[in-house]
Amino acid sequence: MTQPPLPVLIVEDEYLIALDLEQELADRGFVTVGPAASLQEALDLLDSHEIRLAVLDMHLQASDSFPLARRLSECGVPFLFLSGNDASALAPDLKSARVLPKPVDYDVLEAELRDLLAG
Amino acid sequence: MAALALPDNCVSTSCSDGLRALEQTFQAAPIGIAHVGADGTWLRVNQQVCDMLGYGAEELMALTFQDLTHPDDLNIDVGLANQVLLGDLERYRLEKRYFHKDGHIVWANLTVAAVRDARGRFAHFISVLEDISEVRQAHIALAETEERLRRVLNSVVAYIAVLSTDGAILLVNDPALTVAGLSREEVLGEPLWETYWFGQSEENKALVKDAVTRASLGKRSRFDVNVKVKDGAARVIDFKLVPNHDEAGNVYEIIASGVDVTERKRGEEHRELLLRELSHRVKNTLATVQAMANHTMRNTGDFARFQAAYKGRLSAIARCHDLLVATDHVSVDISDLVATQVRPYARGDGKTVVLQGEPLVLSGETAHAFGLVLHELATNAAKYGALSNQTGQVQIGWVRVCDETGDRVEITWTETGGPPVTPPTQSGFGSLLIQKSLSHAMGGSASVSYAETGLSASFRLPLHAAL
Repeated sequence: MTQPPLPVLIVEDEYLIALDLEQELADRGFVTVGPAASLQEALDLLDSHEIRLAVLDMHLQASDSFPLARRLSECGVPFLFLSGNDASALAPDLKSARVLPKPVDYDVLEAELRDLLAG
Repeated sequence: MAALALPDNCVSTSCSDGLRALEQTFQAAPIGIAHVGADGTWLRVNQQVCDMLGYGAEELMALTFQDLTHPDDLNIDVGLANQVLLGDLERYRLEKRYFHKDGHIVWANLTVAAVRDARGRFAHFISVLEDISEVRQAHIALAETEERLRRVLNSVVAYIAVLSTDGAILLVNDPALTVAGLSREEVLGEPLWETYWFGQSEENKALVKDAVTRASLGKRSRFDVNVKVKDGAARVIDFKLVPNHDEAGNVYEIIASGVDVTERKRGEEHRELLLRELSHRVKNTLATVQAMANHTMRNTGDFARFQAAYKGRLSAIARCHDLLVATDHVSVDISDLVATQVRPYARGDGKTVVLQGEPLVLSGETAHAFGLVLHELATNAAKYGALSNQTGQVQIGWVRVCDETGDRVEITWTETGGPPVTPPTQSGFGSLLIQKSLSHAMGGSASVSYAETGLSASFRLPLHAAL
């Protein structure tokens, strides 16, 4: 890995999945921030850390993660959703966002993240 | 010729041929003809009258018409006959009932006139009787059919109306009125789309009006539409418009009908919601299984150890799922959860696992997360702790606590009597899961202590995690 590590925010309320994401992304040269289990926790991390990318679970226990996605758009931070739902569950203003189905193929996730950075 | 009472002078050979011809006409006429005296006595009857009433001519002539008239028709018949007798009335016509000799009722269309002599004196009545029993029967049958259809129309579950080709309501059944608390007078003659039922929105009105227009042009239609019922409540009906064509093929009326499908619609929506929820859960479960495989792979050196650890974890997930399905998918009793996750690792006598606590129901999410924690504790105990020898015991207790730090559930896992405990040198996946998974999403906390006498763990779950 010649590139500098990229801080990726992980938002996922399922502990096992969050932990796995964290380890997989770390293995692939990313620096992970989180995992955050709630919207508030994620917004706090966004304020206190330098975030270059974000991976968002669409549905958290108390809410969806759409407000965070909007904040990320405003800040110019690229993100993608991981979800048990498909893109049809997205809020109308977020329809252009990328949605990867769960369970995720980590090679695809890595490619998508690098694609987001490049684009 | 049947016995026929003719005055003697008429029967005699002095009777002219003309009179004979008249007599033949009288007898052969395809209608009942009788001469009746002022007091109502039958004076002369033809065969048709005899056939109609079931009597022989001589029998009849011993009777009066009053004897054979239904009591309900007697007064009017006698009254009219008297007016004719007095010359106030030239003739009358009456639909009346006679009794047949065998007792059944014969309906007749009776026409009565008076025969007078040259000086205008009353001679006798001439009565013409037409048997109309069959026609009356047909009328009665028709009325009964109409009544039957009316009852059917008012007893069905459907709302039914008949419309003119311009949409005005000509007929409407009771259920349609009752459900909306309307009276028939309020809606008859009104265009269907202007009524209370479809008054929910302009869009609704336009939809119905358009369908009526198409029906008037001969096109059927069927669609779901919102209707307003009593107290402004909304229902959904499966609505159908069918044009009725006359023999020339022109539409002359439109049948509108509707069936309430509100519950079915709600059921469909609920089912769709459940399916989406289920699909979401399945994918999340697959993601958990994938994560579990990855973690297990990272933490076990070889395939045999991976297989053993992974199989156990997979069945722990399956057991949590079974519990959720067995209940209502939203809650699980904590003792059931403990029993299913820990008992498989306890020895047969059932005495090494002790549960203590008031009945407590956990939410589905909590039960799922805590079930996996219990599984890790149980497998660890079975490998190294109190479930690995003959003397060990695991005590699991829970209590609801309400104090200034908030309402919560405290759960303790205490092992005693097992082999001496040595704290692990590095934390594996199992202990990570035990310590972190409850705090991650649920705002709970966990602590584990490795006393030499036995491992103990305590968990705090905020009360929203329990029900």
